[in-house]
Amino acid sequence: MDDTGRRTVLIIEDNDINREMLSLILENDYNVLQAENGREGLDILSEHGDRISLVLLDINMPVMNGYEFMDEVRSTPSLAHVPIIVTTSNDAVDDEIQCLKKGASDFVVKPYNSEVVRHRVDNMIHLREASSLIQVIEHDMLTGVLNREIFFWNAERIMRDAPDQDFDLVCTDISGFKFVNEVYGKEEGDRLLRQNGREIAGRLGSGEIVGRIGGDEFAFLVKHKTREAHEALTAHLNEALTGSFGSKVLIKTGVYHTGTSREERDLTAAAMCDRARQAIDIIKNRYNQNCGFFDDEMRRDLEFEKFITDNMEQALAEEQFQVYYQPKHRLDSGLPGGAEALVRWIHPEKGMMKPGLFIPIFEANRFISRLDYYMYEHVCMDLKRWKEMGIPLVPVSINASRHDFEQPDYVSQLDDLTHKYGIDHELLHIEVTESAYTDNSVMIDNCISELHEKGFRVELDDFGTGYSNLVSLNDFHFDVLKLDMGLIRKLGTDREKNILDFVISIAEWLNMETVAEGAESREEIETLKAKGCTSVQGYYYSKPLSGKDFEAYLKEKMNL
Amino acid sequence: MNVIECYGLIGDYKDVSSRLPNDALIKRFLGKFTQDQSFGELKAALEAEDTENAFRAAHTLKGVCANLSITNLGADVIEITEKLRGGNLDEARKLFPQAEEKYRMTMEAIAKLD
Repeated sequence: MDDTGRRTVLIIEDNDINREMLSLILENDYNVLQAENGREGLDILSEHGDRISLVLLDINMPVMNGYEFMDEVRSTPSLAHVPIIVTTSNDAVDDEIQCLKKGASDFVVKPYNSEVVRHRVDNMIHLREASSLIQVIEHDMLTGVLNREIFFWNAERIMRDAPDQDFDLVCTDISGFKFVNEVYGKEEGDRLLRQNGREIAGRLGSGEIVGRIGGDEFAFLVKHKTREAHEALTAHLNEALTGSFGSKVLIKTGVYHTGTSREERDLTAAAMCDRARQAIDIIKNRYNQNCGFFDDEMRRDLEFEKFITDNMEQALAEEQFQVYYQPKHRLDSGLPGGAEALVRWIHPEKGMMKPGLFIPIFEANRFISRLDYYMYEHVCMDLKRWKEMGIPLVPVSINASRHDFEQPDYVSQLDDLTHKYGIDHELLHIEVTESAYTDNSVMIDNCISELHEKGFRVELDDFGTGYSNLVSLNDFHFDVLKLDMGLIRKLGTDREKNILDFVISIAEWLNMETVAEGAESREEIETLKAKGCTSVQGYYYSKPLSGKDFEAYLKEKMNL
Repeated sequence: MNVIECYGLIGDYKDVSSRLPNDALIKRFLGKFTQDQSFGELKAALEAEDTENAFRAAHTLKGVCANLSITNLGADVIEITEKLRGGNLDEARKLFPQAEEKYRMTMEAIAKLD
């Protein structure tokens, strides 16, 4: 636009009659520049590019034809945004397709209709100016690279348009970025982000894009490259950007190779990004590795996770989950004094799956609370049956997830279940792990009080594995303390005895019973007994048993 | 001869006047047409059996005729352009004398403008 608000168009046409005629059509509304061939046009465009709103281009020209001109313009980033309208004779569809492929925006046909030419030019300029406004909205204000939504949207479009091309979706994470902001100031942090975006953008080929997808996270989509190439880029980024901050700041990258299979290409770009992020998580704490790759092991983990989540609802409905009981024996009498309920998933195809495989997944997707409720109910059903059979009942402890406590009606649900099956409350113990109560101690504390009010007993599981502290032991009123012998054994004979002494006396002092889990030898049992430990749970007495087997076990041990 | 009478011999006055708003301007463009090299280039390329350049010249001439609504000559040039696009040099050469005659008539008519 010049001072008078008139925009400038450039006409590139070798025939002066055609050129003059176009000029005549447009000169009332626009400043018109003219060139006799592509080469001349390119020179004018390079010189006045920022004030040329549109190019009208003939194809058949000496020196440099219209196709060659478009190739040049599209490969020059500073010029690529200028819209091009091709003037044709409307006689060859192939030529028009060729023009569109090379980036022409529209056509005008000879003989020129003045009105049509003027409107096409007006419209195209308006459209382009409006979309350059969009350009601003599509880009991250701070770094100028694409914003999150637009990056994902474009990445998906690019992959869809090239189904046979292998791509890598790469995420970068600046570890220690907070440190830069805090110690060097926000401006320095912003500068680091801008520089990161610029360095990545500078390494991209055509049809490759970069976006900022989170605070200090960037993602870029490139055609598939070797591991070495990715490692080299990561090394370059660190060299160029983080060196001055010392070892506290590091750029870590994760690479997800898309492959070309339907299944993988159907993933959203955001899901691909998650996978790249997973690759970063794996190497996050590795001192000498800054570039990680989403590999087959991670792929298998994900596939397994998908299997679990796809099957869990059905498993619950079909009662594929079974309650196993591991007996706890009292050391004073040697008789069974309780049991811990453990879940087994008996899958029709996979067979028996141990909880270690699926519980972490259920914890993550919150299905755990549904499974826990199922366990409570099935334990109640078993207890009711045994009661009716006249078998002396022992308390059964069941693991509770931290997610259970987040449900406002958790305790009343338990209460309802025990009433439904006519089970005494003291027969149900709830096991809480240390990590659960350190995460949200106020909520857990309230829950424990509520459980106590209703007469349920609460056991602290895995004492000593997390951030055990004596204050919380005193604050939370657990009834039973469970010790993991496997861990205590690792301390070595002398310290083992000291720790046992210490823990058991604290438990006594706080009026808690103690259960040693995983005691294996006669000798260990004797030691525990001598120190005053209440009960032992472990293979020395019995492995976890199915409901039927536990029923038989109880009958036998209780001499019925 | 005025512009309307001239177009009676060479093409479509109504059409050209939609593009060029007054007769003086039309006259100026017809003057340019008499200087235009495309016809001469077409003739030379056909004689030299240079299909590629013949096509380019014919294509340009076709556009010029269309823009100036010189429809009589234009019709022949369209045919020649299509023959050349298909690489058919002999056919194009066969059509050329007729086009040359129309070109001569067109130049004559323009020359007679007041």
